[in-house]
Amino acid sequence: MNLDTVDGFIGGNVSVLSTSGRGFTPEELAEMALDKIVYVGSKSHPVIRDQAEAFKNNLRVVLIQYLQQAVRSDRTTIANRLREAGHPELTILLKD
Amino acid sequence: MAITQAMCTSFKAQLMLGVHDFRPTAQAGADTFKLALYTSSADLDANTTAYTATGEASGVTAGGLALTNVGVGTTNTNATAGTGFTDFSDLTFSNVTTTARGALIYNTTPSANDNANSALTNAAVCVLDFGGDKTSTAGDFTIIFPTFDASNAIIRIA
Repeated sequence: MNLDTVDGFIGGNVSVLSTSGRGFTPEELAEMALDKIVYVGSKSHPVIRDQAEAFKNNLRVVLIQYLQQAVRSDRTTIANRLREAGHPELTILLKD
Repeated sequence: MAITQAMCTSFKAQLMLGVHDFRPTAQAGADTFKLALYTSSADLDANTTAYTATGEASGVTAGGLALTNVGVGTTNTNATAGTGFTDFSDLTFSNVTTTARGALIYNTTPSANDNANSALTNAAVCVLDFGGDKTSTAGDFTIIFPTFDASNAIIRIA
């Protein structure tokens, strides 16, 4: 084998997502996570691709539900810390 | 002044010197890689050899944040060809006000010296061009890394 068959280094591409005046929502985070969990190649067989897309859609619902719960649970924790610190009036800021 | 996306030439040579250890972050021996953000006034390309504060974006931690190494993978295409690859987890600069045009990934804990046996500091790995200014105002700034596979990973040797 000739080593000149080695193609060499290939760099991938990153993308950037940013927000202003807020953090990412559970829906936005779910999309980021889904792209990591389920990747469907462009050359995949249509049947395989359809199954993967269906799985992805089901997973999206579950992820959003639990991410929303994570936000609510963390707000509960923060609210308790504010009360313990003597600032119960600030907990109203944590409501949706 | 410009940011040109590239794998740093010094990084390619340093791989043959055992400078960079891309094992998963949790494993002993894995090097610590950081990602620093830069404005369009920065001058970064394949000739960049180390982290520089010149042109670094304001509003974020100087030197950037530590990346999480995903580890190293391999895929054999056939009996004579295959691809080795590595990647990082997505990285978020939380609650920041900043504008960045690109980034530099660099190694803060090189595993070996250079060819002349001199210590390396903040050895450059690759330059990333975002394709335009990306802005966050009192928000989150996230760099999404590609899928960890032979076709997409951020660093691949085929």
